[in-house]
Amino acid sequence: MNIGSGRMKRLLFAMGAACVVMVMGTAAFAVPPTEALRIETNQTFTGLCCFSLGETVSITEPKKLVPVVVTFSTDYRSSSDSLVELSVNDHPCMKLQGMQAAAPADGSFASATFEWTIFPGDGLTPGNNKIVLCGGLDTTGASLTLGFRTLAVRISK
Amino acid sequence: MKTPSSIKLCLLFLSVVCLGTLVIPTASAVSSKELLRVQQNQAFQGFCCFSWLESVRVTEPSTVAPVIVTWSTDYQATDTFIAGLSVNGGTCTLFGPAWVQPFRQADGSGSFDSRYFQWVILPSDGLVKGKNTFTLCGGAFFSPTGVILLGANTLSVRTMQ
Repeated sequence: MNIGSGRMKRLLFAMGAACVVMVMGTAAFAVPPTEALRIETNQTFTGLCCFSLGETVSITEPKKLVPVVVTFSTDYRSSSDSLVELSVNDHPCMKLQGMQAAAPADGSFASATFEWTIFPGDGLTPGNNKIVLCGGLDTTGASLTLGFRTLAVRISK
Repeated sequence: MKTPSSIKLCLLFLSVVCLGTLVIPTASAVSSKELLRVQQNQAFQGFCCFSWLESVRVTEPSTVAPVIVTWSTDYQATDTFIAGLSVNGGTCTLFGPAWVQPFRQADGSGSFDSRYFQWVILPSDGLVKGKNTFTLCGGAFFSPTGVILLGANTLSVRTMQ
């Protein structure tokens, strides 16, 4: 083997570059802050379903679309039954789930968690996808207060 | 000036490092410490907040990423309770919804209610590179004599990578 073998140097360089790319790639994809949201302020809504509740997460889909799972977990008080849904990429709200009226007399909150599976046919596209929480009351004049809550989306593997 | 043997050694070292980089995430992707399942009832009494003796652990990469902890439980409770997490031994904190409403007498008789919480923990909440421990905590909100009986429950953590 030649001491200054060009082939060996190129191989060495390629391996080093591959390592750098691998490490940088890990760092770049380690923090997708838009995939999870935590809100620590109460917010009260009135009005019949359905309108945006103002919480958005987003996720990047590969070229070959795969389903995503969205989870919404919340404290709440509600003077009537409510509905929570999702809007995918600005499409109309869909995948309705019900939230029972709950207004504990001691002033505390009830809690509920909802999970949705969004399929490619629901409006997902390659690249960035925006998912917005929507909903509203099912009785005129009622109100819904959301307390501490989290919204998260993940690719289904 | 490098000799062929030193180049070989360097190549071997690089290969081992690359292989390690590939293998380590695979190995840590399914860690039993990230999941906990409890199948026996356990009662806790007292004002918030104290440890409920359930922990999970996750390893953060050098660029610390948010994590999601989920807790799903059956329960009975004589008072309104709140539940949260202690991150790496810190103060019991609410990282999302927390309220657990009273249900029955917390003596194990009759049916149980159930709750499912998803909590989002951000790097600024005290996550560190390497091992991070999340311990379930909480307590009664109104009465020091309040009792919560946790039934079958699961606690899990995953990083957002």
